[in-house]
Amino acid sequence: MRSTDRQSQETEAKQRAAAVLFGTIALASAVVVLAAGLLHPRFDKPGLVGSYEERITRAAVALPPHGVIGYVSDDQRGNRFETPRSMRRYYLAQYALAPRILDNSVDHDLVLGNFTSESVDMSPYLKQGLEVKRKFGGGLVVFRRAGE
Amino acid sequence: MIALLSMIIPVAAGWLLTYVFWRSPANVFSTLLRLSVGIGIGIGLSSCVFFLMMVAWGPGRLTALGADLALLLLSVVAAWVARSKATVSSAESTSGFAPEESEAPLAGKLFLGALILSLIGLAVLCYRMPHGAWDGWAIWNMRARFLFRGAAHWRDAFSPLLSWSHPDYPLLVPATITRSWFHSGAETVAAPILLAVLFFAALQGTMVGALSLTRGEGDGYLAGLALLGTPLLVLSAASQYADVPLALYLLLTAVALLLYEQSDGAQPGLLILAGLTAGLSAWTKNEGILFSACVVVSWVGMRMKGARTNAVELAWFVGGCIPVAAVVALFKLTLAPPNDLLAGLHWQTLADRLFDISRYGAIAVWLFRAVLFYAGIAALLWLVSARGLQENVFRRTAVVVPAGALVLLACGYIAAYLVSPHEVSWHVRTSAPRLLLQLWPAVVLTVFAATRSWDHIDETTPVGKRAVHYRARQRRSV
Repeated sequence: MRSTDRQSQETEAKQRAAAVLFGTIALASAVVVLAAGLLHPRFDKPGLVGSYEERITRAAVALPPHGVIGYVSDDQRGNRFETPRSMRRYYLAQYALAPRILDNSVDHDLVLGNFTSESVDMSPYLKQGLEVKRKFGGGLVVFRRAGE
Repeated sequence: MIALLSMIIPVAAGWLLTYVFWRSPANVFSTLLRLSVGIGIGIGLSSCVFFLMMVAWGPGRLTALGADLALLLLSVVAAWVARSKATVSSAESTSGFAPEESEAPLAGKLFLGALILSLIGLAVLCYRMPHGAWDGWAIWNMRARFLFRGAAHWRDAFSPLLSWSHPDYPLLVPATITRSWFHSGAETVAAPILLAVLFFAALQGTMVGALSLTRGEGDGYLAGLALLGTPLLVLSAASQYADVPLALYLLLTAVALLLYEQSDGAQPGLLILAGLTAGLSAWTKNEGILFSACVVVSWVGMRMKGARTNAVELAWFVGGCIPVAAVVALFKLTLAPPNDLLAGLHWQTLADRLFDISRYGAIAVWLFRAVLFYAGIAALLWLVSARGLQENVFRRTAVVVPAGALVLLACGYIAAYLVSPHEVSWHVRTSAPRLLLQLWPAVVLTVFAATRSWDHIDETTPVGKRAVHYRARQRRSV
């Protein structure tokens, strides 16, 4: 009888030890997640994607509702992204303008210019046979192929 | 609110379908498990039906409504037929499901506390990232926008010009978001957020419900704590990544096999359910296709039951897998562009990459770092050490098949890294933690299913030896 009681106590002790071990890890993890959500600077501020989207979608009025559109920016070399930030700007522009397809190239009749500032020199793009169709401010431009 | 309502019909249909596959005793854990399985298969199947109707008639509000009604009707009829054809008595069919009587107040309280904290964390993250993190908006939500906004041009979503967004990925997540948006009549961030929360909740419910039913309440809560002890799980859910839904389908496959084993083979419907959930994993991400193949290979390689029994059980599994596999095949053959990892792969390139030793080193280093995200691994190792493995563990379908499939899947991931056209360190660093997350819940379940109960002492383990020594000393002193 004593042996059974002792065995039962041991089992309970092991169960408690397991609960404490797994519980500590889970509670620590939950605190980490909460802290990450509240403090970590990596995460987007509320509406960051949304506010970027508002900027980009202003150009939608000068674009067809679907089809392939070119894309160019001053923070990339040719059609290669220099930084993750420049890649992110392109992806976010695509996200905002779907279902249009943004091709990272100037070889199209319409090209979206997504520049980092208003004062960027646009002459390199004009030399590639593009002309400004419309400016939307903040470095956002829609080009069209000259003569189209 | 409408986003919530748009999820209720598929979940209700999924709930009804669980009665086709599984008879269980009525208690709180079987209800929890049934609801969680219902979320998984209901949402998964509704996305399949919606996709098929979209291919036939194009996307639209009527398509979404038609898909929901078709699924609901199908599930009502199937549940009705299953109910009328049920020949096995309730006592016989559910005899294996009686839970062990083990009070687990501490584990239960800790689980509840950790769950509440995690849900608060999830809510904060969803508030801060309403569109999800990078892959969330750049892959899944963007694809949903193409389907929702595209009208007659919805197939543009699969343009090779969007290769950076993996347009070959299957459509379970985007199709579900799109269906919800059609019901709402507008794009709302509530739909993807709700979907992420539902899958997160279903993952917890499946784990706690299944292990409480088959191994006792204590194990159910401990396994739930092991899941909550993974910050990456909550982060991935808030990021709206498809890795969480995929993890759920892998777990559901393992759970269905465990329940089938507990029923002593009296409920072959559970094997169909396992096939169905494996198929839905293939409809979630490409990794799910590999997983389904790995389950079949693992099953074929299993030799403990005899060829005939194995073949019959495998046939049930494959039968459950086929309908969703057909949807995946339709998508892959008619819409999806070639996969970026396989496109342009030549024998010479393949050989060059396979014989490049530096790739192996980079993969090992970054995989090891990814493993460090999982503190629960240490707790699981301790659990195995403390309880020991069951004597017959290598003869159990519910352990060998999922374990074999998970090992094969992990090998598949390593092979994919080896032949990847991307810079290998970057590829492993950015994806390995999430790939491990896909496997993690099924690993936790399999480990719990494979170990002994607490009151059994295995004298071959170090902890067991100490316990026996302690008992002997106590006996002498008495």
